[in-house]
Amino acid sequence: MKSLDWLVLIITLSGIILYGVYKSRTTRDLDGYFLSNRSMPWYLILLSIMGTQASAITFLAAPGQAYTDGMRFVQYYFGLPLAAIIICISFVPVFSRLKVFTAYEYLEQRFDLKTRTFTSFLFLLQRGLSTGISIYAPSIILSVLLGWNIYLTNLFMGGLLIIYTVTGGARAVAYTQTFQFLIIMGAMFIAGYFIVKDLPPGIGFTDALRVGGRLGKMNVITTGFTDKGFDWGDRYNIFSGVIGGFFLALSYFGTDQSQVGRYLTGRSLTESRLGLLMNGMVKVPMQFLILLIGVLVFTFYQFNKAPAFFNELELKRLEQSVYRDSLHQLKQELLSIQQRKDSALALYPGRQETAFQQLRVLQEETEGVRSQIKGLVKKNGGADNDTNYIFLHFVVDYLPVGLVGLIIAIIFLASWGSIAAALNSMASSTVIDFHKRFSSKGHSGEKDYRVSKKYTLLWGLFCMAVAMFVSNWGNSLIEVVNVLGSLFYGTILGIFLVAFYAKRVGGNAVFWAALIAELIVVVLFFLNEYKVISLGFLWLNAIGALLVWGIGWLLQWVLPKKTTTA
Amino acid sequence: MNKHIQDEEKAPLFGRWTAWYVLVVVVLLLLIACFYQITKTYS
Repeated sequence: MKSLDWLVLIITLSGIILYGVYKSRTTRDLDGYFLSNRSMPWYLILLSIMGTQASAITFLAAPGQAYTDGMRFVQYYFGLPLAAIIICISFVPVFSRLKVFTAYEYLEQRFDLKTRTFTSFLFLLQRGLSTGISIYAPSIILSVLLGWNIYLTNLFMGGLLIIYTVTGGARAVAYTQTFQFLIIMGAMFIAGYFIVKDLPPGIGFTDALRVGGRLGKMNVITTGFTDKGFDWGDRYNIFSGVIGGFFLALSYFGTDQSQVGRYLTGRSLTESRLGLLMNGMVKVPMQFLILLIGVLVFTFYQFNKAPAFFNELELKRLEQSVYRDSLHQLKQELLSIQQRKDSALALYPGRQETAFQQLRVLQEETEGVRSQIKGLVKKNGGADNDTNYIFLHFVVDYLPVGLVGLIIAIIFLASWGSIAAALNSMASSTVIDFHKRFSSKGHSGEKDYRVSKKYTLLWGLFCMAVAMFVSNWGNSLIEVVNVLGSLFYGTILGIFLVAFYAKRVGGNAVFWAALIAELIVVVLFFLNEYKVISLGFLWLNAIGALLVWGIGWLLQWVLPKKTTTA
Repeated sequence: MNKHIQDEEKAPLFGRWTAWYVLVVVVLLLLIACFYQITKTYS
């Protein structure tokens, strides 16, 4: 990074921290700290919801995901608008009427204390782990750019974040997210413009899509059907996206306190509903555009030499290892393939079918060589997955001075926005569902406020600790977060669905049903991991929810009749 | 209970929340149709 990049980065980050502290002025009680005195208009709720969901992972890993696997990841969001409608009809009015701080408070009124506590615990466990990953994501940037140790980088990143979040509260979270989100979207558009601009003369935006598409990256809609029928292990297709994505989104927006806490800040039911519905309409196209940047980067690297491996730190370690000769040979092969790609691309657009045929063969060869390099990285004891580094590598190597600093800054901003909301929500669940619920002492508003700040700090430290252990999880960070969510969200959602729609099922039945369902989901996950069965992770959301529903009804029927009904 | 609260606040623009829900579904269907066309055109 050049001096101008550093200047842009420092000014942007300092500006957002100061802005957050300035906007944190609110009443020093729980309503002010966690719900911003329920005063937000719909557009702030919308941006806050989007800012909470779109972490640095979204902007780092999504283009990398499209680069490696194509656009089909966008289907994962198809269930979101449908879920937003259900939440507006059933969830928001109840939360709004009961004036709850957390979604789980409602469960005690509907069922009993143990169901509320269990659900809140599942949320805290899942959100704590996911937020740890969200701290790790921007730390990658610093470690790659500055060559810092990733563990020290996590400490640095999390430390800055905690100072900002503990001071902030829900009001600061919402206002900074709005500001952050506008900067982020602007910078991503500018990045997209520069990618197309840097393509060779005569190659425009549609040519870039055509090249990417013919090499399999414009697979926006896929069905999951193969010659052998429907592939249940296929992660992203229209069916898993609409059905599995629906259950995941219903659970995330309807029962995850990090999102519920955003729309509970609405100044009325109408404002909360509008924020959610607008998010349902803009989220899919926004995600499409972010993924499209990945396809453009992919096409860009067809015309330009791509690195042998996008994680430079691992590549340097490999170059100094016993595998350096093998690496050198594979690099030479990549160079030779690139020269043949250049010849094939010279045929475009005049003899484009011939060009595409040659490119497809050469791309397969490229992937074969890259896979061998990944094998060497793994043998050398490194992380063999470089998906999260692809977009970053491009930014640092090719974007103009100043814009690099801005792109790095937006990744920090996006990360801080979602982590701030997550820490705020975890603190609210801990204070409301555990500390105040199980404490015999009555606290004043001022004391509650101070306790809430302490819990925000503790959750920040916990998430930093998690961030230390996630460097080698799964294929891409965005997938890891979603897989993790899918392990718990189905069960949590099932509990809420029973609460809203199965009025005859009582607390004991739903509690034991939830425990059994969670166990089955975890077993299914591991069976899939060890290749005993083939099941895309999105299905776990639907399975978990349906199991709670089904077992809940069964237990209600089997258990003694004195079990409570609503 | 839900209906009671829905009746309390009229939806902006259309007056009814059902119209908003239909709009969200229509936008989703249009997007899927558009994505399908993009897949067919470029893949």
